[in-house]
Order: sequence, then C-alpha cells, then structure tokens
Amino acid sequence: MLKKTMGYHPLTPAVFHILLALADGEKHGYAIMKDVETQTGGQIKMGPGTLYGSIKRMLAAGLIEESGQRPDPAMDDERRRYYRLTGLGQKVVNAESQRMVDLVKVALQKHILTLS
Amino acid sequence: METKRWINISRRVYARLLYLYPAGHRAKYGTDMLQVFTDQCRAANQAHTGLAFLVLWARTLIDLGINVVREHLTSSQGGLGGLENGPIQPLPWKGVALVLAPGLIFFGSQVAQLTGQDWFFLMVYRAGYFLILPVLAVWAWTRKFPVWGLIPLGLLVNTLLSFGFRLQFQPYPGTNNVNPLLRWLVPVMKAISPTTLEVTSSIAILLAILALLWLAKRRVGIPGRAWAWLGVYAALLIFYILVNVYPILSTNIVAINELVAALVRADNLKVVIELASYYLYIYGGFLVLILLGALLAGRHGRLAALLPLGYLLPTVLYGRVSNDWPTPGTPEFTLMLTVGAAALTYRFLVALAGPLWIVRSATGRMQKRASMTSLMVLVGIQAAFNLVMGFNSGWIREGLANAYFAISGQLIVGAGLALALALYRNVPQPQVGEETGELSPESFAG
Repeated sequence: MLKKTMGYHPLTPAVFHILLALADGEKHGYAIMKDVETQTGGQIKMGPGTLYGSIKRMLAAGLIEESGQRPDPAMDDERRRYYRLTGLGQKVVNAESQRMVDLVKVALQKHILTLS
Repeated sequence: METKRWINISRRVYARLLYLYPAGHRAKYGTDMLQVFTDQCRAANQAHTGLAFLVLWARTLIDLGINVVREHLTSSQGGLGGLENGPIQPLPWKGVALVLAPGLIFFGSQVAQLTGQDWFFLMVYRAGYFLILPVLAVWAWTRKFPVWGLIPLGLLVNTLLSFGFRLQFQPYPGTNNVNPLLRWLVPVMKAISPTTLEVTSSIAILLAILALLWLAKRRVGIPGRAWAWLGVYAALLIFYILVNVYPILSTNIVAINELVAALVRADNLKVVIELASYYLYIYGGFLVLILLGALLAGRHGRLAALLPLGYLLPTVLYGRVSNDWPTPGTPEFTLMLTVGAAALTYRFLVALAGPLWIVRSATGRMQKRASMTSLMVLVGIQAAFNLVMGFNSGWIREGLANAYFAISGQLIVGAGLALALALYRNVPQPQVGEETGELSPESFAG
C-alpha cells in the first residue's frame, strides 16, 4: 500500500486531517474545519486560506473530489460545495495512518512511549 | 442587532481582503472562503464575547498573510512562482516585473557610471550574491525553480567564476581585505601552488561538464544539432589554446614532431598546462552554465535562454574612457560618446529589451527568434566593440591576425550560445489548467 502512495508521504498536517475528516463521509468546507478542530481537541484551527489552499491541491492530486452543491440542513439555506475522498485519497490516508502506527511501534520498542 | 452588524462589517472587510489572493484562486474559492469565514463569525457571535471576534480576526489575518503569499508563489497564472502553466505562453506582467528586476539594477548602474558615479562595479561583483537569495527561498518553498530566477542564476555563475578566477589567477595581494571570507580564504589559496589550483579547478570543471552532459542526455535529450555546436565550441577552444601556446613553444616550428618535442620540455609544459587551464576554466565554466540551462529547459523550455542572458548581464565593456568628459568636438569626445552609447545600448538590450522580448513571446518560434536575436546581437556588440577599440589603439593594424584575437572570445561564446539555442527546446507537456498546476505528490509531503 505504502509503495503505491509513497510520493505522498509524509503528508502535511492540514492534508492529513482533512483526509481524516472526510473518511467518515462527505462534508463541506466549514464542516471539515470543525471536524479537524474536534479531532485534534482544538489544537489545529484551520483558517479559510489554509483550508481551501489544501483543498485545491488535494483536488488537483485526485485525493478528494467535489460531490456537488447543496444546502446544509444544519445551517441556513446557503448552498455549499461538498467534498469526498477518492479511491486514491482513501489509500493515501490508510497508508499514512499505517506509517504513523509503525512509528508509534518503534517509539514503544524504544520505550519513548508507554501504553497507559 | 449590534452583533449582526459586526458580522456584516467583518464579512465586508474579509471580502475586500480576498482580493489579495491571485485572481484564479479567488474566482474558484473566494465565495466558499467568505462562507466559511461567515460561519466562523456566527460561531464567535454565539460565544457572546467581543474577545472571540478579536481572536478570530487575529487568526484569520495570520492565515491570510501566509496563504496569500503561498498562493502567489504557486499560482499557475504566473504569480511570484513564475510560469507554472507551461513555457509557451507570454509571461504575465507581474512575472515580467520580476524577470526585469536584476536588469533594472544593472541598467541604472550603467547610466550612473556614464554620469560619473561609480557603483557599476559594486553591482558587477556583489549583486549576484544578493539577487539569488529570493530565488533560493522560493525554490526551497515551492520546489520549483522560478522563471524569474534564471537571470539571477546566470549572473551568480558569472560572479562565482569571476571570483574563482581572481583567486586563482590574480591572487589578492594581502590578507587585510574587508571581506571576512577573503581574509580567511586568501592565505589558504596562497599556501597552494598556482599550477595545482589551476589544474584542479579545470579538472573539476571538465568533470562537471561530463556529468551535466550525461544528465542532460538522460533527462531532456541532446539533439544532433547541439552535438554539432558542442563540437564547434570545443574546436574553437582548442584552436584558441593552440594559437596562444604556439608562440610560447617556438616561432620556428613547422613539423608536428618539433611541436611535440618543444611541448614536452619541462619549462614549456608547465606554461602550456597553466595556459590551457586558464582557458578551460573560463570557457569550460561558461559551458557548465549552458548545460545547466539544458536541465532547466526541461521545465522552462526556450525561456532557459534567460540563463545565458543573466551571464552576459554584468559583462564589462569599456564604460567611460576617462573620468571627465573631454571638450566637445574633439576626437576624444567623439570616442567617449560612441563608447558610452554602445555601452548603454548593450546594457539596455541585455538588461531590459532582450528579457522582455523573450518572456512576452507568445509562441515557441517567437521565443526562438527573440532569444537568438538578443544573444547574438549582444555578442556581436561585444565583438564590434573589441574590434573598434583594437583598431583605434592601433594593435589590430599591426597585423590582421590580431583581429582574430580581438574577437576570439566572442567566437567561442557565440558557439556556446548557438549550443544553448539548440539545447533549449519546449518539450511537450501535459496541458494543465489553472487549478491543476500542482499535480505532484511532493506538494503534500510534510
């Protein structure tokens, strides 16, 4: 898996978190931003510039794709652009997660980390 | 109502700030970014504290500052990053401004020189080091060598070769130089014998040429015409070395075995090696630059001609003949006027007109014509200049063969430029649209 997606690793934090945010379904920009904030316990708060800069590059690389425009029922009636993972995006986020697991294993072996 | 007003004001201000982004990025994502910012404002509003708005704005301004620069640097519409959208298009004007920046400095210093202010040579010896810094920063950030970095790179190669030349062949007299690098370097250089230095640097240049030829052949291919010009370049260089070596050996040599016998005499051999090293260093260094351009042509196509243009940018003609202008009407005044006009014409062409013509050409054919005309006219001006000055001072009239020596350097450089024009081609590239300018996986590597 890692071999096929090797050129993408390691991902930038913004790209990795956006991929993770989209892993459980399609979302629009603000929902991605909120998801990233939640999944990092508020440590990563992306601005609109970082979010859409990353989205642009991820679209170009085929990691994500647009899934159409529609209103967000949770907000008001403004139409929003939704994004979802592509097959490649799924592979890349899987491989990056696996890479991190492997790193954690090394850290555990070297007693840098301990499981509590 | 009051807080709704704050949201509206923030929205309006942010909408204005979005104009700082490149037009393409704004058109595609501006509405979405404004939408997200409005959502953030609503969330801040729900916090029922003015501090939430302040924190949001502080974070947003930092995000804006970083990403505006980033988008301009990587913009496919010729932003600060240059021509991401392929080399066979006129460079947008903000890119043109960056391409012309080094030239403007040199043209300004040439005008200043003609009016009696001597900071031209400060530019010649120092500008290359400073002008490359933003190029390296952008290259490191975007991992793409920008088109506006080609002239500074050519200039830097010239400056470094000239620095190396002065260290090897014209050692600085003392160690009390104001330059701390030289204060450290000069004693080290003086400890090594001049012949060792010269031979080592020439061998290093020869190895660099071979390595670059191998790389260029693998990456971009070397057409038959380029091999032919490389042969011409080598032949002219060898001939030049021979005609300079011949008088040292003997003036009475008629047979090749006599030449070889004279050559292997120890004292002659040392002089010949030093002389050959001297010319190999100068013209081999220029060849290294040309071959470096072949690698960059894989990305910039014919626009890589800006690289040798950068090399020619600081070429010193004669500038002012004397410190004060002579009396009008005298032959000295006419000579100084001619020299000044020629120097100004050269600098205008190399610094402004040539680069502008090349980067604003709309087709490969126009780019080729612009590059060829600019480079060859520049070398032609140098040659004409040397001929006129040599004739004026009388030494060409002593023997017509001296005319060859006056322009021998330009002949070799001319062949090198012809080689460059044969090497730098627009290689077919996949059509990438405005939003697909960054397709490489490396864009995501952390």
